[in-house]
Amino acid sequence: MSILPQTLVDGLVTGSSYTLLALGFALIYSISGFLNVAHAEFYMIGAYGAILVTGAIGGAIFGAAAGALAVTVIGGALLYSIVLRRLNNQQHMAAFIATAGVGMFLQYGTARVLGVREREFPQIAATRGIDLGLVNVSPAQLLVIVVTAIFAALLMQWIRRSTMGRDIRAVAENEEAAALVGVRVRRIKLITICVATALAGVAGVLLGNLYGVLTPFVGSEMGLNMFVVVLVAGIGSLGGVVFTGLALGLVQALSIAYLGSQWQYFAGMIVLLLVLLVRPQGLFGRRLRSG
Amino acid sequence: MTEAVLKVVGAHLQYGVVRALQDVTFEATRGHVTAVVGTNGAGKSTLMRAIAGLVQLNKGRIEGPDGADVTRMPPDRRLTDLGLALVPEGRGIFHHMSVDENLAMGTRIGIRRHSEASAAEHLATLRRLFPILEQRHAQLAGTLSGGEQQILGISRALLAQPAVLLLDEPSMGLAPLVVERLFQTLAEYRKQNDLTVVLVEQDTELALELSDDAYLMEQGRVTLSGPSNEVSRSPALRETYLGVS
Repeated sequence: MSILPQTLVDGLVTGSSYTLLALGFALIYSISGFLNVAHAEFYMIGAYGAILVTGAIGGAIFGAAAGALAVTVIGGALLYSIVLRRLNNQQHMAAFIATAGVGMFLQYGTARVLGVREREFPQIAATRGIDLGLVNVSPAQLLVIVVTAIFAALLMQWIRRSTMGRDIRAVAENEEAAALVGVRVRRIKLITICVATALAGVAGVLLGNLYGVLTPFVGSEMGLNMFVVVLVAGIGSLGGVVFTGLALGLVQALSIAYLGSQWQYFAGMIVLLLVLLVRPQGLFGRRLRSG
Repeated sequence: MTEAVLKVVGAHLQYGVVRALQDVTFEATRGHVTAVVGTNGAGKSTLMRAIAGLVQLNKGRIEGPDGADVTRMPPDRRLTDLGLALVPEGRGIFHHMSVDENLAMGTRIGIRRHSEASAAEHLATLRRLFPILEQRHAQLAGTLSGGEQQILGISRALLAQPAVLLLDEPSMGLAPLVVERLFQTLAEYRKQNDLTVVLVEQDTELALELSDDAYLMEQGRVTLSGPSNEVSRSPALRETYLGVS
């Protein structure tokens, strides 16, 4: 039997997780002009938040979601208030260094407080596959794909259709001009950054459930793939980030299936290199658009 | 009797070692057009940015219509609470948004400051005065010509129904005929609405012709001020800025 259908499903699952994370990263870059190197660590602290809250009050999926969202939204608000708000738009290197520091603080702080050993994630959807003939899909995998699709669609509609989405696009394009038409720039930045980190928290719940275990260092690998997605897509098009996230997942899955697992990340890097050679601004690069 | 709707008193502003504003005192009278003229780097745009709240003064104060100190008020509140609307140099429109979306951002402030009915009426008036706003309503603002972008920027500011409209270099990069039409239409709008205008222009002759009062700025200082007809008769200004002696 052909392994292609199963490979495509696996690729979609991996790609969906990259997409959720990369959407938030792209949002923060668009609104602030800063590369939030710590973004993948919000995925990790979101997953730990889910473990702690479900451990304390139970509630499976709702407890996990509440824990992850609470930790990542508060974390996002602190990231903006303590770090990013103090930097002006030209201080890119300072922002890079500061957020790298925040990332390390989150990673090693979590390791110090909660330990480095693997933690079991509470199961919110079964990870055992269901045989559908051509493919074997688990409810946990389906949850990753469906939730990512819903959140990506909601995010794009919010940015495109809502008044706040218009304000976000205004700030992303020209912060001063936005202030001159009455947009409360700091408030919009704070909300956008909290939404972005919350998306990372959602990814934490979905992938924590899928993989079943967690360490404080899971963010590093995800962070690398998130960077590849955003660099290939180019900053500015959320639709482009979704397409590229899914495409990278598929490329990696196909590489594992047909070339061997050692090719998984190398294939992504080759795609990145080729795109940057031909289109340095990325496939869809320009200022923030919803499409 | 003349009534000041905006006052700047003893303003100092420094960027690093550059003194952009030095003890600048400025006043805009209700219903008047007040011109600020001078060469590049004289501090005209900095003054506008300080009035709009985009940059903070190191010293001095800015007073609103009732004489209240608004020096530390953020830009969004200067627009919504005081009605100070700046159309910045370069127009400040959102290129990746449609004409309608750009206008909607002004309309929202108009609704907040007055009412939905009044905002709708203003939009209709501006569409009548500038038919291009209706004709190009779905077009991306970045694809409009320079003159159309300026019309959009000014219309968006007027939709907020401001008390004071600050125009920074509105004629920059536009053909003389386009500038003439733009100012004619703006004059028509001002007749129907109690609007105070502060006009920053490098085209000194045009600015003095259009304004009631004028300020000449040089190297961050106000060196001459008064009614425009008197300022335009100043020998120093005539020789340096109008090229006549």
